[in-house]
Amino acid sequence: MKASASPAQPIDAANGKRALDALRTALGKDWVFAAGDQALDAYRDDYALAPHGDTRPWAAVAPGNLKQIQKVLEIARRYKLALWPLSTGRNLGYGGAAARQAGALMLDLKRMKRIIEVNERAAYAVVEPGVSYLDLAARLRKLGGRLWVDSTGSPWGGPLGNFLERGVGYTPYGQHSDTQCGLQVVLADGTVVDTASGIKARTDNLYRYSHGAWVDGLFNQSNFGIVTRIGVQLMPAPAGYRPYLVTVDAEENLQALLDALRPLSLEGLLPGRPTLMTLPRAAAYGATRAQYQTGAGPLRAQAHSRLMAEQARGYWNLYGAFYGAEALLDVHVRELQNALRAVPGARLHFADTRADDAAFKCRAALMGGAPSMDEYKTLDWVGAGAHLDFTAVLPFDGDVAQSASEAARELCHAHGFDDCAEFQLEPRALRLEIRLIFEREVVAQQRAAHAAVSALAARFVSLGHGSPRAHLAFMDDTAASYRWSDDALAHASAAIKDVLDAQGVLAPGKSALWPGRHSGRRK
Amino acid sequence: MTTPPLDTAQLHARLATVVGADHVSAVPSGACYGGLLGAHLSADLHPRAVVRPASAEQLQRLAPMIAELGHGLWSSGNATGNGAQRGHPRKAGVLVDLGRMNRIIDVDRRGAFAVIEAGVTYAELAAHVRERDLPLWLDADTNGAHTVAGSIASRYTGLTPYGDHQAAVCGIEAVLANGALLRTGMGALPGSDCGARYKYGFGPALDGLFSRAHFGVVTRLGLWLMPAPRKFMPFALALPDLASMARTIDRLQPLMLDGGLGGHVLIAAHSSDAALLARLGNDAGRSSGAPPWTLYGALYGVPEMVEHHGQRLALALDSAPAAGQGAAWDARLRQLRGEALYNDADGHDACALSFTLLAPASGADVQALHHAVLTRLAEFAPRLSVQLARRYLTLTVELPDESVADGDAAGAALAAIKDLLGAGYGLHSSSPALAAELTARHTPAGLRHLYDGLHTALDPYAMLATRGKFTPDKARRKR
Ligand SMILES: Cc1cc2nc3c(=O)[nH]c(=O)nc-3n(C[C@H](O)[C@H](O)[C@H](O)COP(=O)(O)OP(=O)(O)OC[C@H]3O[C@@H](n4cnc5c(N)ncnc54)[C@H](O)[C@@H]3O)c2cc1C
Repeated sequence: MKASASPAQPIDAANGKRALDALRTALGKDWVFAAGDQALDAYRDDYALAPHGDTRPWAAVAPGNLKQIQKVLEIARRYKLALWPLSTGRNLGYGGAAARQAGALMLDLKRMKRIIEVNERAAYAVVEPGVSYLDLAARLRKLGGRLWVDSTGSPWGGPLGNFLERGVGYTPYGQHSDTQCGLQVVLADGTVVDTASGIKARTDNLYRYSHGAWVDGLFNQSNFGIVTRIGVQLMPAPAGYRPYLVTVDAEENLQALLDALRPLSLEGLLPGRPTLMTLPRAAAYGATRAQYQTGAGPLRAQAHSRLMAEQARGYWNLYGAFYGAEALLDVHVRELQNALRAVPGARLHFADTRADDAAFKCRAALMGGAPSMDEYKTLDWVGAGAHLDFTAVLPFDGDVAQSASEAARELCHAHGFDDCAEFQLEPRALRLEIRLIFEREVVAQQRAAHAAVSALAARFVSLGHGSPRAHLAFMDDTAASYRWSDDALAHASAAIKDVLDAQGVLAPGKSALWPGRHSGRRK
Repeated sequence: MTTPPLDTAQLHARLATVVGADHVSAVPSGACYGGLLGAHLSADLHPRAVVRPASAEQLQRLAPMIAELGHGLWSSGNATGNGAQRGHPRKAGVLVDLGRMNRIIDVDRRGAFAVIEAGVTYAELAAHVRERDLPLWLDADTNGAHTVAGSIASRYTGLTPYGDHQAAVCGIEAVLANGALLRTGMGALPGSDCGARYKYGFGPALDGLFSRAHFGVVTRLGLWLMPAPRKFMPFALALPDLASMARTIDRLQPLMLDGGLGGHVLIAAHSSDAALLARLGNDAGRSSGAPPWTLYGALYGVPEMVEHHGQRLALALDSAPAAGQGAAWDARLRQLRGEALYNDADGHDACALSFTLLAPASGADVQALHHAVLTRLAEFAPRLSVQLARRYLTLTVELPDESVADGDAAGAALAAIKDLLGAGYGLHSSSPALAAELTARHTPAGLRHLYDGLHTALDPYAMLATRGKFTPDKARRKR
């Protein structure tokens, strides 16, 4: 085992010792990790990016309940410590279990992992921060499988942390910001807020809004509070389920494909979050690039052709699923077939012919409410891989998507990466997620990935395609791009931050929310 | 209340420097703004001026001016007052009426969304869609003179699959107390064409602060519209008594939950249907022999899918879903199509005393609510209607103005609500005459503390709403 890295020191030694003593008194010494403790090594970005610099924490604590969180907050305020909350701590591709800056006191909520309620009649669950999608799925299975969980491709993460990052899954409940219902939050001053009705009504996790302002969205991608509980709506297991794959060979037929799908998507006939993957993105589930090309540089045409032939796929590969009784599934299929007539070279496949398609297996599981870790295999594309994503939101429009995809490919290739992108289809918009897969320990590759995302962001923002999520290293730049009308939104958020967390103890820099920005009191 | 130094003429003159003298006036006599200025508010508490900006830019100049003059800022989309917000209660007020900001900026046929200013009414938007023959449906309030933005601000719900008006909003533009103009979501990215296509930008979402609260004045919004369904199958069912209504709710609940019934289901008491018909100038509703409750709903979508769900519905209801008949059916049918039913520009149609409660979607709960409401309010002849949503139901209680005249109806309503909140039910919304009191009584300490903090941050001059002082940790110490 590696020797533990020396932690960063935010306060002087004497105060540091006092603070640690206070934390140990509050939580018990087993749940406070400081210099010399190997456990501290876990609080880092496993997919680190060299240019982002040092994010080593000062110490970490793992409270077991709300009262202990309030005590930690008190101590953090007293000693002016920066607290960085983590739920399951699997934010891989976006900063992992690291804080924005070195010297933080990591607030690890993994121990708070109760599934507080599963309501089968109204189809929701209430869970604590440490509950993973795997945990929740196991519980639902045990209860008889009448409810599905909507998991991400990273199911050791959990509903609470993922919601806070505005993450997505792939069933019809896949926009996690739309299926959350009820939060419990501790503000920086220790106040506990229950959103929804806030009166502990039986409808708190049934109805998303309250009698007054609807505040839940404030805690998304922010540092206005520590979230300790979330209500998540669950999908009733449908009467039937049919995953499908559409392949289209020619890269330039993306436009035709999307334009054919758009009306269906708007009518709700492409339920869930169908994902349209490029060839390398889909291929990576079941192959490594070394099998197709040796040496650096993006895959060449010859490798593409071989991959398409051997894996029986196209340059474009759309993974989706239909839900409901058999009769409904048949109607869905007919509608899709009709639409695809307008798309040169489009072919529709089902499970019976995709037994060898690793991507199909993984996507079918995720879209079918069964968490799968198989997406992690795609990172082996380059050996011991890691990834960094750049995501942009585009209108659901074939023409715009075609040029965006060409720009993405050009920039990926220019930085030495394959075109590992996917479009996620929403009724009115497309999320284009461009994935840079790099060798984890190779600093030059980390730099290349960082440079590629910088270039992608610059290009896409100039085209008016905003990015809805960012790695710690890109939070400041991403937030700065939402600058309409003299940064009005940023100013409003900064004003809220300065009132709710006057001492700036909560996650400084999360989503570019730095303390003291509004009042002009900078650190 | 401290009287500000300016006399009314001076105040009007100052406001006119921004909007022109034609667009500043006293509150027109008789204007009620949908109950905002109702009987519950004595005339000396009414705003001293109504000002009608033509643009967000004018409002950006007005807001700091109103603050500087020591006034509170009230706001309303237009004279109907739907979604109107009261300004700071201890300050003299200026009411901003957004009725002139009624531009329809875009209705995108291919993307099925609209971008509209805050003064646009459902009638205007419907006319726009109709004139261009766009294959899009709205989900309107019953009063077509209501503004869309106001409907969202009051969390009105309709019956189509787009009936959750809050959920159909995509991107808001608002003027804050300090005059800043902000956009939420993708709209905050210069040059983005996804402001009305994708709800989320980067960082915290402030959208929810602009409904049933006063953190700023909405000036524009993106609204998702429903592509015209290929098949529309409306149905009605007479329910002879409360027990059968409760049973029906239990049997429909699984269909609601899995999305088999795309929209909301309305169960209207006879008195509620009759009141609607009276509003439409039709007294057919008074006819005797009508069932005490009628259920209205519809299926929307691809024909075979509609038929499939129709068969499931038939099993649940013990009869094939069929159209209703009569005047009430005609009106409800239009509602199921998302159409407004009438135009009442001055907002006098708004029921002064109404509230909507939340309950789990179960028959036992609807019976319990019904019982508790009648226990407290029978003497005021409440008109009841139930809406079934995917995971909950609402019970709306309207106390007719005629019956409210004598007796302490507001007091009785507050008592009924208290009973029900105590029994674990939730509060969805309430008319202005009740809202302030209910907020004061029933907002729990933690949420109130958060609201106070947000008001401190976004309304530093305390012109928009009343608030407590934000003393960190206060709520906690109180517990
Ligand atoms: C192969 C692979 C596939 C992936 N697929 C997906 C996918 O399909 N969809 C997707 O969305 N993501 C995906 N991810 C990214 C990521 O793994 C998930 O989003 C994951 O859910 C985030 O981590 P988490 O849930 O453990 O949250 P955490 O890491 O616990 O939290 C994330 C951040 O939220 C904040 N936070 C956490 N808890 C709290 C709290 N209680 N209070 C306040 N703030 C808090 C902190 O800033 C923290 O850094 C994938 C990653 C990989 C490697």
